[in-house]
Amino acid sequence: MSSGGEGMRRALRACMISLVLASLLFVRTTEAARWLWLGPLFGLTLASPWLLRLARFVSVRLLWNLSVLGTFALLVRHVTYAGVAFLLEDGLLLAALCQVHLVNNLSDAQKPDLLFFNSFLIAVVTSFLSLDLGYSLVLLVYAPLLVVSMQLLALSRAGVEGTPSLVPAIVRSGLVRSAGVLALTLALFLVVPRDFGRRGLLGETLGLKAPGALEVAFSDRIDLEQSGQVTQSSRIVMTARSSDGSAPPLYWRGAALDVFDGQGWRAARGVHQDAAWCGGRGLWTRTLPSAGRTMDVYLVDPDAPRLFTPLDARRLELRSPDVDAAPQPDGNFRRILTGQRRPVRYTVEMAKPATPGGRRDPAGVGVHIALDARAVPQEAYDLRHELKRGIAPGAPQHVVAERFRSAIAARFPYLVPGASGGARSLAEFLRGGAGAHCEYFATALAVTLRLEGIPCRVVTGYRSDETNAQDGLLTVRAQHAHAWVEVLDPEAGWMTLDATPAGAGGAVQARGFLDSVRQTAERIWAAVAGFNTEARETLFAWFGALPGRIARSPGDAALFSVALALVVVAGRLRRRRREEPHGRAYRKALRRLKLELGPTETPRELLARARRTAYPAEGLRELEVATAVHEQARYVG
Amino acid sequence: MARVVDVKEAGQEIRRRLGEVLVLPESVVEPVLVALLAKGHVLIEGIPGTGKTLLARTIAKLVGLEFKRIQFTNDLMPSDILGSSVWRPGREEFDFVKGPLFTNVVLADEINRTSPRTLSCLLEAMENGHVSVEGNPVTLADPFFVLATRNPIEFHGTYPVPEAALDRFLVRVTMTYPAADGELRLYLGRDPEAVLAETAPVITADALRGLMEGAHRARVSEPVARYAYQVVAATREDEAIALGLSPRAALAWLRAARARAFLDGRDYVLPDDLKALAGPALAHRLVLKGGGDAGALLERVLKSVPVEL
Amino acid sequence: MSLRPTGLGVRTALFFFLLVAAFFAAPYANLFFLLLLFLTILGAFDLLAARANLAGASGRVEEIQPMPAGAGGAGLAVVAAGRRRWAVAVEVELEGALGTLRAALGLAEGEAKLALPVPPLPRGLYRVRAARIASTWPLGLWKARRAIAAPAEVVVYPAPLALATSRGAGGGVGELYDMLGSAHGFLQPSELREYRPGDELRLVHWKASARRGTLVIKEWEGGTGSGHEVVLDLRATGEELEEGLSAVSALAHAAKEQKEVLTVHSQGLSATFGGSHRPWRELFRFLAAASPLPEGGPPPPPVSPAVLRLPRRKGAA
Repeated sequence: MSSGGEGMRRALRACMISLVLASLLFVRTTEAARWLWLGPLFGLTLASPWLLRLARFVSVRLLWNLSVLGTFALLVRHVTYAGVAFLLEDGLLLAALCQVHLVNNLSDAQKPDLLFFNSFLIAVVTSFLSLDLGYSLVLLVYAPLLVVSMQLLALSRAGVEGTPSLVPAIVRSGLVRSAGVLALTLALFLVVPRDFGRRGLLGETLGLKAPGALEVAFSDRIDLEQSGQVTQSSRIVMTARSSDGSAPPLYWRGAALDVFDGQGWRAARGVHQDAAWCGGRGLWTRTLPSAGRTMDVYLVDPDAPRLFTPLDARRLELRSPDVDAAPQPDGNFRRILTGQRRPVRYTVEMAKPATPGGRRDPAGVGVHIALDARAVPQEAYDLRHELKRGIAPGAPQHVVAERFRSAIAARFPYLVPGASGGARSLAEFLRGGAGAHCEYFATALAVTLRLEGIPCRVVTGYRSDETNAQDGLLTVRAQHAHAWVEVLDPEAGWMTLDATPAGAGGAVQARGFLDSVRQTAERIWAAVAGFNTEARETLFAWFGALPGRIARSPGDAALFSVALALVVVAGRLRRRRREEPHGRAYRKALRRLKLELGPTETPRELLARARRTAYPAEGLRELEVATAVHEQARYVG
Repeated sequence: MARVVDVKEAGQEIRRRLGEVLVLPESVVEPVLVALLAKGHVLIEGIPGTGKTLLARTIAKLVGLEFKRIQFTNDLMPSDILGSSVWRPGREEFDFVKGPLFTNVVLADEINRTSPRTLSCLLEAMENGHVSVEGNPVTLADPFFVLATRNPIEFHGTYPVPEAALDRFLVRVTMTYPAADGELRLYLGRDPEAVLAETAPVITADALRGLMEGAHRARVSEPVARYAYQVVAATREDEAIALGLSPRAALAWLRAARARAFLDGRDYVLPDDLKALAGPALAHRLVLKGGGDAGALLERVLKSVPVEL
Repeated sequence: MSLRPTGLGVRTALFFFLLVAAFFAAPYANLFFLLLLFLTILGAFDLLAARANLAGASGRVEEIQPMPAGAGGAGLAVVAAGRRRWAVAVEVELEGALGTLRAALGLAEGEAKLALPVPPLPRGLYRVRAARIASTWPLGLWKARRAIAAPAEVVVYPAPLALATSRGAGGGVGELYDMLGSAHGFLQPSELREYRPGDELRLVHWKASARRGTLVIKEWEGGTGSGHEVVLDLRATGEELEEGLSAVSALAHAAKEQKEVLTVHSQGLSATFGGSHRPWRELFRFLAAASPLPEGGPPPPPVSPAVLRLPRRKGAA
């Protein structure tokens, strides 16, 4: 065998090993397997060139097969006691093991096909479990690797004895090809119509939930230890506009939660906490002084379980027919969901901001300071002690509450829900280091305040400052879902207190260039992973509006023309490098004339040939012109 | 630009009148004209009696040049072609009597019959345009155009011509018997000598000098240069070839191609020029492993190098 | 041009359909859809690229020289690629279960030549069922093929007799001829006679000449004629015939090498080969195609009984 053939085989083998490494990385991104498991697999894969050499010893083969069987048995055992929940994870680990087994055992003839399929399967399965940036990076490595491997395999199967320069050429062409395929894939991914809400046969029978379906949205309870992927959705939940053009309030309440059980918050049952709502049939009021301004609310989300209201609401009137709601003890309105899913319009009249002695809690403060000692982690006590330091004893309640709030906001880092590295329990959060989202901040504040004896509750709803400067329209999106704290002030009644760091509604501020790159990449990948009907419509609308925008805005127009010019220049450069344009025009003429230029034939020779074969005069003239034009362009000047 | 049109017409006129005197294929006439324009020299191979002398004489006459013929033999001395100093008793001094080399068109007949010494003298004249006589350089006529003939190698009494000497010739053409109808025409036609005597020059020697100045100005574009390189490189890689083409060979090839483009009234070179002149300009510069002629091999090389559009 | 999926292509299609089924069975997932789309585009793209890779290319199998049985040989194929093309293979499909001859080029450009190896084959004429250029580039899921011109058959003539190849390779045809005759116990020098002008020098009996002081010719039974002549009687058992064919093959080989001629008489053939006579290829073709005739079949053309007759009949000695 020539050295060229050997080079090709070596390149193919290197690609196989890299594919297995990519598969292992895929598994790693899901965090389904610990390093304890994956580490040896990585090692075995990297060592496979040496292991293959050892494989001719029977004892080594025996040992290998026994250990594969042993690992398999361990996995089966794990499934039996860990339950079906871990089936997918264990399956993945098994697939990874198979990959390593394949690369170490099978011959070159049968190995590649199985490796390709198995690696693709792993990519698919891991896509269900892992949606973060890491997955996308591995995918970006995996796709070109797969294409290059397939090309190498095709060549080596064709029996090609390559020259030394062949392998780099194949790798180059594979990279270009995979980039093209990936770009086309992404473009089609954005435009192909499909049912984003499809549950599928298995989904319906087993109640599976699609990955990425869990989005940040309002919830009428808080479960701190809930984990998994959550996406930020820009789906619009509601809009609100003030009757007098002033900016609508930022906080829109959905539920007030009083009972903390260590893992989360839920509503206390049967305790009226607020001035009660009176009325019915679409109109409710409570006895508070009017502020004279009204909000027109349009609740777009047809499935919203609540009618969201600001804290200072005194009158609510439903504008949509066939809709009903029920006031809750916590002062909020539960929507009575009928079969018809449709948006709801209602108006809310605002009360004067809390006036001293205005709203009293009818049920006393007991329920607002109650804490189950078993539910409170030690870290909460420590935190309270620390926060109390520096506050003069006997300071007014609102001063203490505000100091606690600002201290907590400054002390813990904010992370968007579902971000990797976030805290998974209140204790972990309070220890510091791991950041978390608003629910943790609200919980931390509420628990420390209650330890201090200050009555408070956690409220969930939406907080949006997306107010249009021109018409004062407030837009509330799913990603604006929020949790905060309300403190019962003995003087002023319920006061809003938000411990979540300012500006945390969206992303945290990027620190440095790399961070911002990472954040941008994460945002793009989140947009891909969480792509849905609405995102597609937004995209289409954006593209549809592009011409108009370009026409209207000189800045955009300039940007667009610069981009267009760059594309044109790049195309020109590319063409010049290939020196093809004249050739292309000439070949086009040949195609039209149904003539074929031999590989070593010059245009003049072809012309002479055409003359000899009595080619029709008209075509001949055209050929003459094409030849002359080509000559002028190619050889003159 | 007007002169460019002139050269095309002049070329065609020369061809026409040449055709009246003797029957030659285009594969011979064109390289000869190209060499004349490119200030190169021609090596003619072929059997005796195919009109080599007549060709040289006719060309000389058509462009208004002086012609002389030197028959090379094994006892020919350098002084026989250069000339020698003669004692003039009346004036009591040496007088240099110029040899037959001092003319415009020289037909050097059967150069492989002479000793290497005389041959090298001829080669020096061809290479430099001047010769050394008793240590003093003497300039030759301008233009100076050598048509040398060589007998096939199998003939008796021949010396081999070294490769370096062959390299001095811009083109090599092979003259064979004319095609049947051509030869018949020759028999039926008038006596070539009579026709030649009546033939008038197409252009003057001065005009020819002007054209020769313009002949190397045709432009070689990048794709053409690349094509030339690919062919040359292919000969270096071919297994049947002992010694591939040198850069000098490639330059000579391009020089000939420029002259051909000029002769065709173009001021740019086409791959067609290179292809047409590959045989005449390159075949005699290739050394094959088993000996023999490189023409067929060159044909094969040209067949394997694609012409880029 | 025809396109068909390769083994890997078929398996990939199966895998793809399984994935599609899984996709529709499970709830909609963006990344699953993305990966499925990637695989689909990869397959479709490979289809187009495989087409484009062979579009406009052609080739031909120039010749496949007759080869002795069991030794293998090589043909010469030309791929007229023109522009750059990847992984172009030339395939020649032989009749019968002998499979396909193939040779491949990694990167073809212009007009590329390549040797087409032929594995050792048993004696016979192998019709070429189809010849084509083929490529599975780029991804190996699809195979594009294009028919090309090729010789109609591959001629595998009998392997030259081992006796002849071991001893006669360096010697002349005559020596081999004599050897065959003596080995088969057929031709015996019958008498010695005086040299006559025109006799071949190889027939001179040097020992006898030295004894007598004048040139003496060793006269073989019935004389030798000019060149070499052999009768091949196909009325023989298979085994005998093979031996005879091998002997003729050895003679032909030697004669071809020495640029001599050989006359062969057989059923349906009576011709001289080599030199300006008929080409050797025809003899090799005849030898490749020969099959035994029954005992009562037609005899070979009548020639002088002195001519070497092959194969030697068992028991005829």
